[in-house]
Parts: sequence; C-alpha cells; structure tokens
Amino acid sequence: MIDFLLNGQPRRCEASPDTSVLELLRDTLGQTGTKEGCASGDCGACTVAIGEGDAAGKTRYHAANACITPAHQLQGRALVTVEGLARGETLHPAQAAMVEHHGSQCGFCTPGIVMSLFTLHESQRQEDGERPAPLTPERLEAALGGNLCRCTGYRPIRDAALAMGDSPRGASRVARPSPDAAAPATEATPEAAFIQPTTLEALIAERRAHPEAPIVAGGTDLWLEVTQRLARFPRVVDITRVDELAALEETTLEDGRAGWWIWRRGDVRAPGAAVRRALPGVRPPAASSGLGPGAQPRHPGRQHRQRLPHRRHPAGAARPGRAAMAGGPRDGDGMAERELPLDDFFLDYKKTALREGEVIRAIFLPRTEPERHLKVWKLSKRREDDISAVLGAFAWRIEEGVLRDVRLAFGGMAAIPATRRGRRGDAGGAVPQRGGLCGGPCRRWRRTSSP
Amino acid sequence: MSDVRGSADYRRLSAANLLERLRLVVTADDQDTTSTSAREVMLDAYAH
Amino acid sequence: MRTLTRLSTKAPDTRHVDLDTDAAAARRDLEGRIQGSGPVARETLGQGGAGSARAHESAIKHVTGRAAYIDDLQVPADYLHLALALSPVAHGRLRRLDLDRVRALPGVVDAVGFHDVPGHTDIGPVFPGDPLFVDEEISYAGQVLFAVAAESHRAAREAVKAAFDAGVVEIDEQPASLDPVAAAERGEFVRPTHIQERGDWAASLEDAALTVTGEQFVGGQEHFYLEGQACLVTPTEDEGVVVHTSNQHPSETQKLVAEVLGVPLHAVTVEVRRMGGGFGGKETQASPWACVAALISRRTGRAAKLRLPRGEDMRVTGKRHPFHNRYRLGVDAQGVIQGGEITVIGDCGYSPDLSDAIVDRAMFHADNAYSLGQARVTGHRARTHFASNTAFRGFGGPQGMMVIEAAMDDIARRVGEDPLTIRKRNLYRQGRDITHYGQSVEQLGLLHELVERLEASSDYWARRREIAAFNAQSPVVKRGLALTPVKFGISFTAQHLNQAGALLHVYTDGSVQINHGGTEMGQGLHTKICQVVARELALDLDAVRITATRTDKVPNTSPTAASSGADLNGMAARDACLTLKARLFDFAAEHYELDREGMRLEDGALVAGIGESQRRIPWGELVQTAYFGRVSLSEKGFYATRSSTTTARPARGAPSTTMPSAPRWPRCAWTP
Repeated sequence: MIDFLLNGQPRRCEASPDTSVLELLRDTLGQTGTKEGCASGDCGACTVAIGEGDAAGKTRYHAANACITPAHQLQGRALVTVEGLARGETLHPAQAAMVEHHGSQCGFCTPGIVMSLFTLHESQRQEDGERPAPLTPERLEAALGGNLCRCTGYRPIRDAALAMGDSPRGASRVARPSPDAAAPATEATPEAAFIQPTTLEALIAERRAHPEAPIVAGGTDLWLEVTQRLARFPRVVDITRVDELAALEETTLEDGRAGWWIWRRGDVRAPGAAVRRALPGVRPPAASSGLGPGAQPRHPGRQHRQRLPHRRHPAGAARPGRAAMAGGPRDGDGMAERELPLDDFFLDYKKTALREGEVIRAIFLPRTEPERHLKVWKLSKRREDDISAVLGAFAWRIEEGVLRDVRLAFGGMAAIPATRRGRRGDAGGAVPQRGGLCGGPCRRWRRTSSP
Repeated sequence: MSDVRGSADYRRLSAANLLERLRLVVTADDQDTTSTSAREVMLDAYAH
Repeated sequence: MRTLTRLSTKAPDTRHVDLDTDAAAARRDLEGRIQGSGPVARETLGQGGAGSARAHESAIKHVTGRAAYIDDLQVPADYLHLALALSPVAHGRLRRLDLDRVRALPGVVDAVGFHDVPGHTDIGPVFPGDPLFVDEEISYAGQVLFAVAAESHRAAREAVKAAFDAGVVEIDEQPASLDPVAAAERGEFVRPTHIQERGDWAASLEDAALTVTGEQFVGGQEHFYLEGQACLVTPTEDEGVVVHTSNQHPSETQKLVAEVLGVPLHAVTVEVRRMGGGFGGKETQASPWACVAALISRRTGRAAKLRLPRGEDMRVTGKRHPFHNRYRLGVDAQGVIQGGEITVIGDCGYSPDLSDAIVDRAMFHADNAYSLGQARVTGHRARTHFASNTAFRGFGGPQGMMVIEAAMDDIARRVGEDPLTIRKRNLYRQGRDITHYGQSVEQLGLLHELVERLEASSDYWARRREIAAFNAQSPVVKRGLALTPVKFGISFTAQHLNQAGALLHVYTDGSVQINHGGTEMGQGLHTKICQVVARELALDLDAVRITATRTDKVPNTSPTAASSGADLNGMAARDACLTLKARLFDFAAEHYELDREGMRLEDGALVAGIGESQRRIPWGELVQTAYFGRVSLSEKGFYATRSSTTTARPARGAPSTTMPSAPRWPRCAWTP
C-alpha cells in the first residue's frame, strides 16, 4: 500500500513492488497527462515532480522520470503532475511561459518539460524567498538536460524558462500541502514487498535475509530490466531512505591522502561540488557541464548507485579512490566494514568484490595534488548519455621536463575500467616529445584490451 | 549503420585518438593541462 | 563594417548579369507577398490573427496535459492490447510458426500471422513489397512475424516473449546483405536506376582545368517522434472499423486497412487528432499497425490498441535513407564547375516504400543551389536487409545536397580559396541557370541577395578570421564555419498528390468549424488553417474551431508532407470560405436589399455600402437570418496546384524521370 499526495489530494494505492510511478499514474489512476516516451529514463517526457519535507518543514521538489521511479518510493511524498499545476483557468508560470513563447509544437514532450520548469521555478522560489533568483544558462541546462524535444530545437523552451522567472510571484502558487511525514511503509508479505530500510543496520539485515532482492535507488539501471526486458521483481530494497548513506565528509585517510567520502545522497549539488574540488579535471555528472545525464535520473541515484558497478561504471565515472563496504560476513555482532582500492573492486563484467550481503557504504575520492596534470575526455553517443563509448583519464606530473607518475585510465575498452600506472621503463620517465609519449605500453595495451 | 559507436573498432580508434590528443596536449607549449576546461568540455560534446 | 566579397569582381566566368536589378525585382516580389500585395488578397490582413504569431491551437492543452494522444484516449472496458513478435534475424526463412500454440498460451486472446489475413497481404504504399506479416522470406531484423492480443499491454508483451521461449518460431538464418554499395554493384535494387543528364558531361570533364573526385557516406537517422507508433481500432456494426492513429496519411491507412480486411473503403474511417511528432516516420509506416489492429478487432469484435515500445519502434520502422555518394567534377581555374558526374546510392532497406521518390529527390538536389554545368546524375536504389527506409524531413534532399557541398569544400581546398567564395561563384546565375534535369531556375537575384545578406549579418569574415586564429593556437580542438544556401523543391513530385480538400461548417450561433485533409504533428498546420478561415470570414480566431482529421469528413487526401500541408490545405479552406461568403453575400443582398457590389466581411460583421448608406450586419445575425432563409451554412473546399510539371527528356538509354514542380523559392538556410 502506498500513501502519498497526488496534486495535493491524499491517495492510497496498491501496487506490486516493480510498478513504476508512470504505470501507477496512467494505468491505475487514469492520469494520462504524463507521457511515456522511451520507458528508459532517457527522454524526460514522463517527468514528474516529487516533493518531500525538509527539516524546516518546507516541501522541496525534485524532477523524476516517472517511467523508472518505483511507485513505492512515493510513500509519504507529494507527487505533482502536469495536471496539478493550473488553478482553474490560471496557468502556472511554467505553463504560461511555454504557451506564450511557443514552447510546444507536437506537445508530447511538453508535460515533461513543464514539470522540469516547475521544479526549477520552485527551487528558485525557495532559495530566494520573495524574488526568483536569476537563471544562469548552466542552471537552465541542468534543469532541462534530461528532456528531449524533437520539434522546437529548444530555443523557444529556453525563452520560456527565462521568461518564467519574470512572472509575478503570486501566480505561482500551486496546491502545496506538506507531504505526510509518516514513516515508510514496512508491511510486507512473503510474496511481494518493497522494503525501505531507514538505517544501515536494517539494510544489511535485509541483505542477509534476502540476498536475491535487488537494490534500487534511482532505478536508472534496475528499472530498465522491468520496462525493457519484462523482468519481475517480487521483492525490492530501496536504499534512498537510509540516513547513513546520505552524507558528504571531508577527510584525510590513514595514509595521509586527503579527499572526500561521497555518500549516496545529500544535497543535490554538493557531491558534484566535492568531486569538482577533488578532481579539478573531472566534470562530474552532477555538475552542470552537459557531460552527465539530466536532472531527473541524477537526483535519486547520484554519485553512487549500488548497481552502478555492474553496468554503468566500466564505461563511466571517475575512478581513482577507494570503496568502503559494509555488511560482509558477520564479525561478532557488528557489521563488518572493509575498504578496497577501486582498482581491486572491479573483477569482471558485472562482477565486483562485493560479497553476499555487503553494500557499498561510500566511495573515497582523493584530492588531486596541485602539481599534477589531469585530463578526462569522453566520447559518447549523446552528450548527456552517462554511458560513454570511450572514456580516457590521464594524469601526469612533469619534473624537469620529464613525465613522472603517469597514470592512464580507460573506460569502455574492456569489461571493467583498465588502468596503467607509469613505471620506470613504462610511460613514466618519458620525455614529452612528438611520437614518443607512449609507444611501448600503448602497444602492449592494444594487444591486451578487448573492447 | 549498425551500432558503429559501440563497435570494438570504433572504441579502439577513439582510444588511440585520445592518446594522440594527449600527446599533442603534452607536447604543446602553452596548454593549460591542470584541468579540463569548461570550453573543452563543450567543444568535446559536439566532437562526437 | 568589412567589405563583402563581390561576385561581379571575383567570379571570372560570369557573363554580365545585372544582379542588382534582378535582386531588386525579387525583393519587391518577396516583400509584396509578405506585406500583402501578392497573389492572395490581403484586404483583411491582420484580422483573425493571420500573418501574426499566435499560440498553437493546442498550446494550453499541451501544457496542462489535456491534449490527448492515442494512448490517452478513452477506451471501451474490454479493449485488447497487442504486441508484435519481431524477427531476430536480418535474413532467413521462416520454417515454422505454430500460432495455435501461441493462442494457447496463458493470457492470450488471439494471435494472427500471414495466413490469417483475409484480404491483401502486401501493404506496400506505392509499389508492392511490404508484407503485413512474414510469409516465408524474412527480410530484416525486426520484421513482423505475428501479433498477439491480450488483456494488458504487459501480458501481450510477455506472451510474445513466452512464445519465442516455447520455440513456436523456427528460422533458417541466411547471410544478410547490409552494404548498399556492394548491393548496388551486384545490381540488387528495389527500383530501377534513374539517370538525369544534360549536355556532354564527359567532354566537360576532359576539358576541365582541374578534376575533383570524392565519395562520402551519409548516415541514416531515427525519426524519434516522441510519441511512438500507436493506434486504437474499434469495430463498427458493419464490416468495417474506426481507426484512431498517429499518422501523417490517414487516407492511405484507410485504403490499406480496407484492403487487408477485404472490405470497401467506405467501411473504414480513420481519425487523426494530432501526432506526437511524425517527421516522415508516420507517412507510410504508421499503416501496418492499424492493419494489424484492425485484423484483431474484426476477429474478436473488440477494440484493439497497438502501441509500440520505443525499442521495438526503432527496430521495426525504417529510418532516413543512408546514402553513399560519389562525384567527379571538372572545374576551371577559379573553381567554377564545368560539368561532371555524380552518383548517389540510397540504402532503401528491403522494399521500395517511398524510396523511388526519395532517391529522385536526392538527385534533384544534388546540385543544391549551384550549376553543375554539363552533368550526369545517377541514382541507384539499393536493396539491403534493413527495415525499409522511408520519408524523413527533406525526403532525400539533404542527402543529395551533401554531395555537392562536400565537393564545394574540396574545390575550395584545391583552388585555395575560402569555401564561401567558391560557393558564391558556383551559384546559379544568368547563363548558368538550367539544372541537370532541364529546369530553369528562376528568381536568381533573390538567391544571390539572400546569401550576401547572410554573409553580412553573420559577420562571416570576422568569424572566419577569429576561427583561423583560434585554430592556429589549438593543437587538438578545431573550429569550423560554413555558410550554405539551400534550394529546396516544395510540393510532391507525384503530381496527383498536389491537391487538398476542406470542409467548413457554420453553426447558427455563428461559431465556425473547419476540417481539412492535413494532419497536425506539431508543425502548427491546424493553427494556420484556423487563421486562414478567421481571416477570410473576418472573425476572431476563437470563433473558429478545428476538428480531428477524418477520412469521412474530407476524403481521398494526400499525406501531410512535402512542405505542402499549409499551402494546399490552406487554399482549400480558403476556397470553402470564399464560396460560402459569396452565398451569404447573395442572400444578404436580396434579403436586406443591399448593394452586392463592395459587400465585405469586416470585424465580425457584413458591411455593405459606404458612407451614410453603410450597413453593418453582425456575423451572428447574418448567419441566423441565412439559416431561416434556408441557405446552406456548410461548404466544401478544394484546391489543386496549377500544373507546372513537364516530363524530362529521356536521357540516352536511360529511364525517364519526372520533374518536380518548380521549386518556387530558392529557400536559403544558414548553417553556423
């Protein structure tokens, strides 16, 4: 049973654990304003806003792809759809601006775009109190990067977004009752359950009892199994409400390396900022660089997805660092915790060092030393696509005209990320000159890599 | 016409190009190599 | 302000052309049209919002989620969901298909394949070659083997999966032909090769100062209409069906559904309110799903919905044609083309579909806005084991233009001049104004004027200098710049399609309903048609309501395509308005004893006479009075283009081709 607010009205729905918000809306509730474009979290036509109360008692909204968001994650939350924005004949500023600036043509992506704009509008309102903050191109792009439009070429939509900020504040009121802060539903039957642990301990207990049940955060990977491969999941574990997994901490490791521990959630922008500080060369997905996916898939999954190592990571994100895992084989009463260098974490395609019952607790990103050079380049089919065909990360130091500590990393060239450390006689120590950078190791690499 | 960008050849060529690019960057005199600039990222995005 | 490159000083081969006079005339003509002295009378300009930007007629429905697409429609409670079983191989023979076992699977209500089709099994839109279901020969990965009907979307998809798992399908896989060039070399075509030829192209190659040769591959493209292919079919009490479909060509779907069911066309009604995007992908390739759903609907007596999941949509439907192009051109020392040959090979996929016309259009645009001189253009239609490639924005035109634009860049490199300079030298001009298919290009001045205006307003040369400076400094990342004209032929190359119909109803409260043969896919066609009607009847736009495109309102329509939807249907709507207006004027003259001469509609009223004797009769009153006077308030409109087509002289030993109607505007587009 899911209790939530739909456009301000309390709703109670029954749904199997692998039901998406989109199915709930369209099939169960008959709310067809939210569209299915791809059922993969790529196109954004199904974008809805999900609100949750913050510490100050305000409702904060984030945009979500309804097609890959588990319906049960709505428990205790406020769902806003395109049908819920207008008050009678008075359109919400996001809607009015889209009409005025010819932001819709065929109209099919429009509900999703309106909801992304709504979320943007709401976040602006909250940050700045009375007057909306000015919109930067970066914010705009981050807010709309997850919405595809095939007709307009986006300019009229951008115009609408920019004009939306000028709308009189009074017109932007929507039904905004606080979502029910009740604890997540925990009732489960032996056959079907959507488990939402709130503590790491409960999560690990669940992992031990039901190691077969998949973990979900943002659904960007797992829910494709449902929508594309017609998989059924009678039991699903949702980690989005585990408090211990929602933090960001600056730290220094025992070996003296400074850096950041990245947890799953926390403030939407903070992990990106931390990654940026840690690795100035990396434009992490959460930054508005246009390199990462749009806002909708980003919010719930963020930096660290439990399933991310299985499929996304070999081709994807920043690599150096460490993984911390919790849960492992029982060690007395407590939860065994251990850490691994990320190099040792990936074993083979879809195989990691995670043991049964273990979860990734955090990922450590080391700070880049100031004298080190770093380049990260990515080639992908679509700029917003987080799956790259090839990703290359290169770090080096130059000491008196000689390359030192060269580290080359590639994603997409093998089942798991491949790295080569510069050693004497390898790339390290080479004098940077034309044609001389990496003859030997690269040839060897070419022989051994099998994309 | 098939998934050209997913093919092994494409990836190998791309990786080789990235290494060549790295060589050009390392051997250039006045390149800012302390980070990947925002402009580079934007230009990259269209260089696919 | 920098100086423009002047054509007259730099283009050495031009005979003297008075470009300024020509351009001035063209500009007068253009501005006359824009401002209202052109062929369409503008006495009511501004009324009804015509000529001004108005919100899309569905804009408010779009932003509130009320605009209904196929999957949003209200459906009978017992409707069926369909799913398709697609071939996993690109080429092979279907050895066995046990549909009885499929029908016995849990949740399956019905399953249909090739042998369940009562009428035509081939639904090729122009030429045969598109079987509704595979009989024996499998021609591409994604071809439809059979369809399953179940009580839910998921159940239908699961049943298909279960059917494959249960081994109901046995296929002998065969090697697939996936390379269009190899196919062309083997002579594997879906339609015969066409050749367009003018002058002694071989001699011009021999005599030329320079020869440039090259080849290029132009990739395909998925339409990615945001709303996937979808239709909802309900059975009627007769032998037919009503089809709701996301579709650019309702009349063709009506015909194909009727043929597949083996019933007359009058038994089938097709309705399209709007599409969530079409882009050419729903011109011919929306029909098969309607045919499949109609089949199920008639067999079960229940409504049937077929909505393709995105992944299946991409596998089963054709794309933009990939092209392989080659050129060998002779140019003079200044880089002006003297002649040569161009060969384009379109990858048509497994069947003709619209490929004949698409490859023709690629050939018609292989010159883009430049004179090829004495040239031969050859167009092959290669058959490969891909989904049948189909219409897509530009309809082959872009793929044809690509070849000559690549050649322009090559020539510029060879001659050592800026590509824009070379492009401008090669533009059609007086004395070099006959295309390789024999058509005379008009309004040359306008072409030159537009390119020069863009050259100035884009600050081309300043940007060029800035980019050159950047590139000199940047070892890896390079920037580029191009200013490229586009000449594009508007209207259908198949002459009979250049016609349209409209249906106008005026109700007794004065409100107006318009219907026409075009379909709305986001391009704003319905908005424009409403504006046309509102202007002709001097009403507010709000007084005019457009209704869904339906084959029972306006029959025998053309597809909404070829950049012609607004022109053709707008004129048909106007035709209906003019006829109705004339009838109302006749009635008013007699009933109110007014002077028929000078009678007009203005600001929601009929106005007759001038000065003191002027009478104004409000529209609503006029309409009511006319109703009581037993005057028909309904009118149909029709429009066909004037014939502007001639048949090209058959080239030596080559099949003849049909000319497109005149590309009346050299449309220019600037590509940064």
